[in-house]
Parts: sequence; structure tokens; C-alpha cells
Amino acid sequence: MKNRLFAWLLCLVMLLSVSAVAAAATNPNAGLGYYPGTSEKGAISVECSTMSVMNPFLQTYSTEFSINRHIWDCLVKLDSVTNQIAPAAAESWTTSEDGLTWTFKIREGMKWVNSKGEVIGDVTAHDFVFAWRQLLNPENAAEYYAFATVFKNAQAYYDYASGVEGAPEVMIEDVGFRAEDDYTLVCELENYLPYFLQYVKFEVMAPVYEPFYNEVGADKFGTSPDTLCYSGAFYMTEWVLENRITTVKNPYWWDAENVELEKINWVKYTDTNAKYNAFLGGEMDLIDITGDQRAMFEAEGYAPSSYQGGYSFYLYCVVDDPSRDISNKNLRKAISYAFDRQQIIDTVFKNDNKPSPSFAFGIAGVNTETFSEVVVAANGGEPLYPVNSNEELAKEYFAKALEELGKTAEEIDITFMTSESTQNELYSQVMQEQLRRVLGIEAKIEVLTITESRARRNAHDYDLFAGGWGPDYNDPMTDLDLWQTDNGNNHTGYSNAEYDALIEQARVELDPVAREQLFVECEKIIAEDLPVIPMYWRYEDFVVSEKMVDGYARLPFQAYNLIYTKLAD
Amino acid sequence: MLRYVIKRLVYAILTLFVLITLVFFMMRMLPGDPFIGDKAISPTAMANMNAKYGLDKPVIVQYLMYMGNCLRGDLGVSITYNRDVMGIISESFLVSADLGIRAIIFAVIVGILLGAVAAIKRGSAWDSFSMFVAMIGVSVPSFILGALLQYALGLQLRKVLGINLFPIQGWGTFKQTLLPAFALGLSSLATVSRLMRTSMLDVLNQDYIKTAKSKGLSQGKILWRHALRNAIMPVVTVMGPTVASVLTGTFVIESIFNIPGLGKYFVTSIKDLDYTMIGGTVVFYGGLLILCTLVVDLLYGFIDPRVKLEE
Repeated sequence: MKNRLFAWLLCLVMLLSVSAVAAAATNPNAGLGYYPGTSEKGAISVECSTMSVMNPFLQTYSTEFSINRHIWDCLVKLDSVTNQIAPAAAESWTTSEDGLTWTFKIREGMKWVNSKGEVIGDVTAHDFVFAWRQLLNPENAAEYYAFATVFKNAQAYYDYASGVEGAPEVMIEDVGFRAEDDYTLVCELENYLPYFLQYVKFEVMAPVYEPFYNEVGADKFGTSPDTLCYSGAFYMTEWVLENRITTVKNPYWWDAENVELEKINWVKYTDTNAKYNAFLGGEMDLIDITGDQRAMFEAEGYAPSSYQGGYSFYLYCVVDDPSRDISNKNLRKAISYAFDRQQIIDTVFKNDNKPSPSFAFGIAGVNTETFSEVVVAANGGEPLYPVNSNEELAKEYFAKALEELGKTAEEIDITFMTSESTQNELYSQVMQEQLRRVLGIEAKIEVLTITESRARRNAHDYDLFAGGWGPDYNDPMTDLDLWQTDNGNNHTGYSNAEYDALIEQARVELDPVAREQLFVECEKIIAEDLPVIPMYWRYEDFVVSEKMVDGYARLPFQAYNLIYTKLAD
Repeated sequence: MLRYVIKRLVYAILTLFVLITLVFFMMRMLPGDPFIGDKAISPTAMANMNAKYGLDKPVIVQYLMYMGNCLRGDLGVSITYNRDVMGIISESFLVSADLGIRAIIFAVIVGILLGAVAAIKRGSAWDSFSMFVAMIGVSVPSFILGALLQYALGLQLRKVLGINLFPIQGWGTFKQTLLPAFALGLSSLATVSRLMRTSMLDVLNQDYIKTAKSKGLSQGKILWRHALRNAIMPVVTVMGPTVASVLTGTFVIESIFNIPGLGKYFVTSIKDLDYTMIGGTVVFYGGLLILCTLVVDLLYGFIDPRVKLEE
């Protein structure tokens, strides 16, 4: 009983603590009369940068997930105002004493509709079971299948079904989710997971209607509006590949009465100038903008908005190859202190990007708005990484590094590996110049295609490489387990037994505050060892036409939530 | 004639075969891996993805399978879009071709007219005007022209008139085709008009024109029946490759005007290492180019009976 109470308390604390960076947006420019927006009544046109795949269990991009959450309901969702977990397809849920079994009560009366808006069936617990089985089906080769491996036996089944040598036989029926009846879904977890609801919120876990899937066939499913069916606030009526997707209000959605918007046109652009002109000309209602465009809007008194997706940017460093100078810790420290992060932001990005105070970004704290605040407080109120360059410390560490390496400043050999783009190249050039100025290092720059640079990164064949990480769920684990020895995203060769132990401890620690302290320790270790040099947190600027007055949200884990957008009269 | 066509078709198939083979092996030499993204994928999942697209087999087996599928008209499934390459190409080619045909009609009619008038009225204001237009068309890159058109006609003119005559971007209505067709056609127009002017000047100095004049033929008849028909040959020559490239879309114009054409896939498929899509675009473009050149060669015979195709 005590355990059960504790689990509930934990959930409550976590929910309350995720008060986040939230607040659904109110348009700062509403009523100004500058950009009234598109003319189509009840509709908005919104930029969406990637929408290549609409088969829910094969999606991988945050903007694809954005459309996903408008046309399907997962068990739970993030609220558009508070960014907290809220009921969606599941109207309620309970957990067992040990926190390993979750029972979801599926909302009755939800309908599947097709691309013509006709009802074709009821949403039931079976649709989740079917969808998750597709996610785990090796033939589908779903990149995000790992979200379904939180269930008991799921990884074992995946390995067995994939034909991994020596994997014991496990059947799909043995995997820990089942429909007890049409409206009861029972999930058994492999391990204790305090943020389990964040997993079932994830968009690849959306339901799929089996009769419809079988009718269109696995090959065709999700390749056009007609080969999908929908259970969310909107349904898709048109999809021109790499150009636009049209979604229309679903009158059969359970909360349709609170949806004012009739239609959303999701438009993809490859040319930043074109979308800027389109916005100015009243052909778009929401676009992302560059630093220069932002300055132009501000100059005429039109306020841009800023979106924090929780993306943290940093430099990967190969630390496990002694033949590389960068494997020297003091050299990495010297470099980190030499960087003037604010100057980099002002020169390269010209926006609200912020020098990283900690590695993790966009994550809520237990008793604070953000986890990062706790990290900074634990560091005596100072950010872990300097905003401006600290030349004195940089030179001090540099002297140590030179001594350890037995080299002179001129002999230091480091290269920035950069993937091709004007901005990336400028970013490297500014960093190169700062190192030259403060440390007298002549760093080189190597420009590669994005695919080649990723391959080289994975092979640990580089010195410094700019990378970024966006969190998958609202818990520091999503950022901090990256630097565990065996993590597939740890492309630095970094291995620290103490760090690994802290992460393992955090996986089982039940007390949220103690657990948070473990993550704070992890942050400190990263700052000390610098397998990556954290650089900045990304804030993305966008503008909204005066047509969209209120109720839209762009928050971490929900790049767009436009369901409850209120329009100007 | 028939023998010539068959011979050319055989050459065309051989050319395509060599092209596909070269591209197939060259793209496999590109560094990187289509499945390596920003987030890590477990080795098991990676193996499943490779198996899904047949990339787990030896390259030579993949090549043979690919060739076999090509023969059956199956270009495979795109890695990026998880759908049929043939479907993507046919959908987007229709858009590119629609725009391209508009641009070509505009370029050819106006280009020939401008070139011919410039030659006939050589040294006049007409001549200077035509050549000025041609100069602009040749020297202003399409991405600058496109942006200028959007700004001047899409934005500023709309402000002045209060109505939306020239939509800035998008595809689907007639109005939306105006600016991109103009921007796409202008450089071809310039080429056509300059070629036309030169060749027209040349023809106008020929003896047979003098003969025609001395026969007492009217100016119109001379120009239409003798001058134009002879002068148009160089234009026809450049039309083959021009049509192929304009019809298959251009990355720049399509991205500036946000048009869902084929052009972007030539660029993005290589960037994404989407092997099937790279192969598909190359086969399609190669095939179209060969076809257009063949058509042009055949056209010679009709326009100028002196050209003997059999030789």
C-alpha cells in the first residue's frame, strides 16, 4: 500500500512540476492591422518544415509529429497551455502498486473517419495493440520502434522477430500490452519507468485501425490521404508530397465543440525568402524566420515570437583517440573557455539563442520551472559554461594542455568538421577565429555533406563536430543518458564509470528530488570532462499573422499545437 | 526512315543502360549511409531497415535486381518517403511539365518573334529592344528574377492595386503559373531570340531571298516561306535539350515559387542518399533527354528536306 501511495504521489509531483515554460500563445500583434493573414475563412496556412512520411509508426521528424497530433489521438497528450500530460484517447488510467502495470480506460464513442470525413469505425483498445505491434514488426523497420520497447518482453520479441542470433523465442502475444475488452488497455512494463506516460504520449504510438490497414495493404498504408484514417481533431484531405498537406476539422472528434478552426494548410518551403514574401503578401499565417527577417519585422514594429523546442547545441569531441589533441581534457576546457558564446550567437544566428547554462534544455524541474535552474543553483548560481570568453582561464588550461601534449600552440592540430550550409560554415569560421585570437590555435575547417559528416561522426573520425539534440520526453534522462558508455548517440567515445552509475541509479530512484540531484551530478561531470562542449540553446523565431489571435502553442515536445487556435473575427 | 528510328532506339537503350549502371555504382561510392540520422538506431533496427530496402545483399546482386526491376518499370520504393518512386516522379513530373510547357510556349513564340523582328528591322529601336530583353534573360539568374518578380508584381503591385493579380507562391490556379512560367521561360526566350536573329540575318543575305524578291514575291511570303523556315533550324537544334531540362523542372524556380515539381528531387535525393530516388530521377531524366534529342533529329527531316536521316 505504501508503495502504491508513493507511486501516486510521485506521479502527482511529476505532473505538478511540469509547469514548464508554457502558456499557449496570445498573438502580440493581434489587431495591429499590419498583416491580417490569409483570406480563406476559418482556415490558416502554416509553415511545416518536414512532412515526408505520414504513416504514424514510421514518422521521425518533430514537424511530422506535429501534424500527427492534429489527426490522431494517442492515449494521452500534452496540454496546449500547460504542456502537461492530459487525457486524450484514454480518459483515465491507474497503475499497480509496483508501477509496472498500467490500465487505461479508452474513451467510448470515438470514431475513425476517412479522408472524406465519413465514419468508418469505432476507436477501441485493439487499435493501440495493433499499432504497437506494427511498430515492433521488423518488416516495417520503424526507426522509433524503441518507444514500444518499454513494454515487457518487447525488446526480446523484436530481437527474436528480427532474427538476431541466439535470441530466445518470444511471441507477439507475450509482449506486455493487451486489450482486456474494447475499452480497457492493459500495459505491463519491462522496468520501472517514472515517465511512462511521456512514452505513450509520443506520436509514433498513435492508434491504427486494423480493418482499414488490411484493406489498403501495408505497402500503400499512409502514402496518401485516402490510405489513412483518422481519429483526431482534424482529418487529412489533401497531400501534395513535399509541398502541402490540408487537414480539415473532424466533427466526430470527442472535443470538436471546442475547436473553432475549420482547416489547416501545412505548407513546406525550401526558400526562406519565398515564405517571407508569402507572409508579407497575406498568403501565409505562420512562418519561421531568419535573424535578418526578424530584424526587418522589428523595425516596422511587428513583434516576432520565439519557440523553444528544447534543442541543445554543442560540439562533439572525440575523447577516446589519444592520437588526437582534442582527447586532452585541458585542451577541451581551454577551448570551451575561449569561446565567446554570445558573440557567436550575435554574429551567426542573430536571434534569441542563449549560451548554454547547462546541457539539458526544455526539461521541467521537480520543484522549479526548469531542471536547468537547479543545475545553475548547484553551481553557485553560475552557468556551467561561460557566456563570454574567459581568456584568463582559457590560457591557464591551454598552458596545462600544451605541457601534457608536449606541443607548442602552433603545433596543436584540430579540425572543425562541418556539414555544408552557409550558416554552419560561418559558425565554424567564427569559432575558428575565436580560438585563433584567444589561444593562437590555427584550427582547420573541413566541410562535408551532411550524410558523410554523420558517418564520420559515428565512426569517431573527427576532432570537433557541431551537433544538436532535441529531447524526446520531459525528463532529464532524455538528454543525459546520451553520454553513457554504451549509448548509441554517444559519438565521442566517452566512458566514465561514475557517470554510468549515476544514470543507472536514476533509472531506479523513486524519490523525485533525489533523482533530480543525480542528474545534477551528471551535468557537473559533463562540465568537468567535456566529452561535448555545450554551446547554445536554440530559440526559433516565427511570426504569426493577426488572423491567429490566441490558443495556438509552440512548446517543447509539441512543435505545433494549433487545435484550439482562435481566429480574428 | 524506319531503319534510322530503330537504330536510334537501340542506341538510346544502350545509352540508358550505361547511364543506369554508372549511376548505380557511383551513388554507392558516395560517402555516408541513408539511415544514419541525428538519433542513433540500434544495429538490429539498422539491419531491418537495410533488409526492407534490399541493401543487405551484395552490391552486384542489388544491381542485377535493380536492372530487372527497371525493365519491368519498377523503380523501387523511396527511402526518404517510403513510397513508390514511380508514383512520386509521375505526380511531380506532371506539375513540372505543365509549368515547363507554358514556359516553352512563351519562350518559343516570343523568342522567335523578337529574334525575327530584330533581324528584319536590324539597327532599329526594335532590334535594340529585342536584344536588350535577350541580354536581361541571359544575364539575370532565375533566382534573382524570381525574387524580383515576387517583390514587384506579387507584393508591391498588390499594395498599389489592392487586388491579387500575381500570387507569390503555390500551385493549382492559373494565376499561380504566371510568374514562375515567365521566370522559367525568360532565359530560353533569350537563347531563342538571339539564335533566331543571327540565323535570320544570315538567311536574309542568301541568294535565294534575292531571287524571291526579284520574282516579285510579297515581303510576307518571302519571310514566311523562305526566310523563317530556313532560319529556324538552329532553334530546333537547341530545343531538344532545352525542352528536356525545362520539362523536368528546375530546383531554383520550383523552390522560389513553392511548386511541387520534380526539380527538387534531383538535388534532395542526392543529399539524403535516397538511392532509389537518385536512380529514378536519373533514369527518367536520361530517358526523356534521349527521347527529345531523337524527336529533334526526326524533326529536321520534316522542316528541311535536304537533311537525309538515313545517312
